Amino acid sequence: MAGLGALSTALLLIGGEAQAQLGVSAAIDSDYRFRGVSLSDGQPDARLSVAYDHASGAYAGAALTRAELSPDRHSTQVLGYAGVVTRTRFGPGWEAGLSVSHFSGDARYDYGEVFTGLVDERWSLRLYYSPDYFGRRQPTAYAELDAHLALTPQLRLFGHAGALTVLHSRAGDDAARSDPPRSRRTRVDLRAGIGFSGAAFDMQLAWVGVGRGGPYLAEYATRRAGWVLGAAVSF
Amino acid sequence: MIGAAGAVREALRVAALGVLLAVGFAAAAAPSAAEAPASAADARQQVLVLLNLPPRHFRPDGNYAGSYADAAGRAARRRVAAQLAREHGLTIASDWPMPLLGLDCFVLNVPANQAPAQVAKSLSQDARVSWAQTMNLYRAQAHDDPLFALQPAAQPWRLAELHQVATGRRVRVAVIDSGIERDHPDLARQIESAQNFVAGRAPRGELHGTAVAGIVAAQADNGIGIAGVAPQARLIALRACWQDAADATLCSSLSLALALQSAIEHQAQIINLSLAGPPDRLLGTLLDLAVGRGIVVVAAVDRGAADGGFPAAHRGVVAVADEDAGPAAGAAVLAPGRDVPTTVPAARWAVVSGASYAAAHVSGLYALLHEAREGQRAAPSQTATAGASPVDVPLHELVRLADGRIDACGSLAVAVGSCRCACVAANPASATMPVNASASASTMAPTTGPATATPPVPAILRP
Repeated sequence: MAGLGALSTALLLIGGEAQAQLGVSAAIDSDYRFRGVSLSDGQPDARLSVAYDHASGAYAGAALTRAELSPDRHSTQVLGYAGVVTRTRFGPGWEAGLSVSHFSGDARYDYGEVFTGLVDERWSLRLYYSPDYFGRRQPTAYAELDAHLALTPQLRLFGHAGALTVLHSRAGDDAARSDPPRSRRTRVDLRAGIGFSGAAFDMQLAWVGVGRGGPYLAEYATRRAGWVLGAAVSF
Repeated sequence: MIGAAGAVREALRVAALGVLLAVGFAAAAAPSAAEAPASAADARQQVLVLLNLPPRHFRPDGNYAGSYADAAGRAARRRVAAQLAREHGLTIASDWPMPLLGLDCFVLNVPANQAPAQVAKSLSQDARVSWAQTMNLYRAQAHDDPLFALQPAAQPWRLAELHQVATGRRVRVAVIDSGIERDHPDLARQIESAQNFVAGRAPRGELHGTAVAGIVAAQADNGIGIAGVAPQARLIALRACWQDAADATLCSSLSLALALQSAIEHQAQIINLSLAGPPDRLLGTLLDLAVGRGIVVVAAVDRGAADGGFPAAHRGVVAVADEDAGPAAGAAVLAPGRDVPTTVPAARWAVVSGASYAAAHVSGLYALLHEAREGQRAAPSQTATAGASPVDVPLHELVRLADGRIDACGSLAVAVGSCRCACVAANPASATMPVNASASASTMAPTTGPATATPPVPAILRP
């Protein structure tokens, strides 16, 4: 831990940024749920993240996560992201950015996404677009609304609602013939829970539920609702 | 599909992690070693270091608000604060994120052989720091002459007539003061929420806060005690001050800042600050934010300061002085503040005097005006006078003065567009009320010396 802290300090010094902040965190979850769908076959998962914030509102980061998109085929997801967010005192800020995911050993799932949205202190609303969601040759849009309520300085309730929809398949593609019917192109996911923040750690217990529609990513059955528990330590 | 065995495994795993979570909660809930200063002297030997707090944004690890990555950012800022503390020979006392300002406020203890002002100046020049400042102390604005309690009562504001028009219904008034006695029979049903920002001192009912709260919003028509100026207003009780030795009521920059942030977050419509002290950049920034959001901030005037003191002299703040003490500095308005019967701890009532209580009157009046104006917005009066509609002007422009004193009835008449009490709204001598138009913080010298004032000695009234 001390080594990671020293590393982040060193990176900041190299960058020479006065008010920039670099944080490193390690987390475990009882299930890696992405937009309601398990990417770890319902198994516990670990993640290492690096996050950089510049005083101007620009930010970037990366996360390393174990993923299992096919039964018994483990891969590592490397996710990089960057964006910019504006700060206002009398209303929500505006945000835009992009993210790129690479799955080592299973590159057919690689994909990128751009996003924009509004961010307030207690809520955020974002829209995402991916031209090739998880390499399925299907452009998708995802909308999500997140909110949280601080019960105490340490304890918070949070909630999330999202909807992923398949826009259309590329003309002439084989995928077009396998497009789901319009009524099943959209999948809704929900998440609600309680979180606790300490000086350098964070814990969350959340209920996660997901509908039947839309593209399912993993090639195995996923429980559509369940509890997820997680903890993270920051350096 | 998932089989029964899988479900059992899942349940066991979640249960095991639940135990981990519970242990973590228990560990984290333990009191922090870093607490608020034990005394005013300790507070004066502290500095506040403000670091940039990035706005929330996209996180890959679950984008719902308050995700793990926020903890990573917090850890990064603590690391910077720890480096600063090491470099300047200081120790970290506590850490208070202020997301409304985009700042994370660290409280650092300064060794006795260093001057806090010099340390703050040095820290402010560090590129990692947004700014640093000394921890200032504020004191409640109340007379300390016990004979005041024996003098005749202040001029009434014709409250019964005012309450025929408005009672402050559903208007949220944040009283930032010492502890309010929450189970006082005249206050128990008036408090919407309460928070304590004085760490290390158990929440309790204290004289100054309880007295101010009673003047603003004591329950009416309950057969006991008094009627507040706005008896149906909802109080947000924010304890940022404490009753110190010799019954002086003191507050610090940090406790006031946290309470101000809470008042803004709770969408208070009126904030009462019956206190005064040296100008303060952190508090000034929060006051600017509150005023910018349309919140009326009322503060008591310190007659010992040339311009009325801070925060009364701050831009956009309504400065109020005791009308029986004569004209006051700057744009201060005059309101009743001498021999005011009000609530005090131990379920009693007493007579108090001072600018603190004049400010409380004005906060109550603003609650009435707010309700009246919102009523006009919903159902405009048929007898409204010509000119700008009261729903279109800032609240303070509805307040009418006569010889510098607030004309409560006339003000309410303007708000509802008609004269329903024995008002002097048509009196050409009435004038609109000024508010501070310019910031005066830069013109004042901080006075962080020991607070010597003592609170009023209340004369006990039988309920």
